[in-house]
Amino acid sequence: MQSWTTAKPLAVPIPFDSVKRIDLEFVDVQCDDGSFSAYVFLNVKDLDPKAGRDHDRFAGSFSVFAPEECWGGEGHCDWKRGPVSAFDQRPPHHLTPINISMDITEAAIRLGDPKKLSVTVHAARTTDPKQSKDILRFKELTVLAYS
Amino acid sequence: MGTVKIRQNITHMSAAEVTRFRNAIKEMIARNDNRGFQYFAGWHGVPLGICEHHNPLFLPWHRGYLYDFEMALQEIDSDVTLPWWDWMNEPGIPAAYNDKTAEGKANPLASAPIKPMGVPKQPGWPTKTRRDPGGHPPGQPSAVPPPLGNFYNRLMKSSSYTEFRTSLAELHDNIHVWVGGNGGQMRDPSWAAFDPLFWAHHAMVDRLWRIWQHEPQGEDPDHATMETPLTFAKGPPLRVRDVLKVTQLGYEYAAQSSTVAGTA
Repeated sequence: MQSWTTAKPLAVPIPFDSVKRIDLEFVDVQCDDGSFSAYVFLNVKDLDPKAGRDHDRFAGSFSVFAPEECWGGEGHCDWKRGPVSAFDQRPPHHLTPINISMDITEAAIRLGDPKKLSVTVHAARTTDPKQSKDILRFKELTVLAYS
Repeated sequence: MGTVKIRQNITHMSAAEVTRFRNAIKEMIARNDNRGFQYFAGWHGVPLGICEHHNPLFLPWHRGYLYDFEMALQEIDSDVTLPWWDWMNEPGIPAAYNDKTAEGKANPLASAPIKPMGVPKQPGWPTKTRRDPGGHPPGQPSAVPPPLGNFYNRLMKSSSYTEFRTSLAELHDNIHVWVGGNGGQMRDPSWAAFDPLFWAHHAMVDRLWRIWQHEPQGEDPDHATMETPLTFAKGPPLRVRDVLKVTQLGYEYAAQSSTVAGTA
């Protein structure tokens, strides 16, 4: 299992008492190396690796449906290969990274009046429970708050 | 225009209806040409892999895919439609797909052979589908088990096509990962469509889109998406706009009461 925590807390961008909805958005999550599931927790230190949905700081979960192995030839699953020319009107590679949005409004409310959010993610593949890195791979994490 | 057929909840179908559907699938599995089960499964995974996920074409592409598959099924039995698995309300896999045997024989809805057409078999490829619903090591993150009814209201309140198809894709991914568990084919796009349950899962996805289309906020995709051609290995050329109305594809999900004459 992979454990990842924000290097520094993310600021809630508007006063929390005006928040109607608050989302976490994982940007450019790579989905080219097998399905996995992830649990997301807020503002927790020293989290038990076995913490589950019943943890009081549990905010939500997501699963990503992705191919386990590339069955094609070299480069077949390389989503980085871009258009071959200016005339290439084909859609992007189907394994192009995705954004994952998670509504954490209820979990944030349970924290009281959070001004900052520390996010911890546990991610695992059932096919390789000992894998501890490179399961959840993404570009950045953003907090979106709506008043 | 012919009569629109109703796709039904597999759990609510009569024993006779399930038997007809099962027999049609069995016959489709036995066909080793471009009308057969392996052929269509290969569009989604090995060898063609032309499926669309995590983008605006996700819902339209799978709607067209199910349409082509259903047409092939109806070549075998014109009264058969694709049933849906109501994972919003039903815990676990429906018995029709889960029972190992049916009428004293192996149940073709429980497992199917994997024989990709047109490509030599590679070492390590699975030879038949299996499932491991909910399977995961203790204490590790896992997919949410059905029923997923707690997510229904938020899904239906989606205020744009982008928000809806993104939210539905997350539920769709969750079910794939849950059914596949540890090493089952449903968790891998390369092999998922070889599992007969795939088609009931996607009929449910398609049904939820159909329901949302009726909501006040159930908007169409943007203009550019609407004009995008959908890529299939055969079948009629379809753009996204061609698959928006399910009745034009010959089916509906709504149960229908008997009809009475009006005043005219």
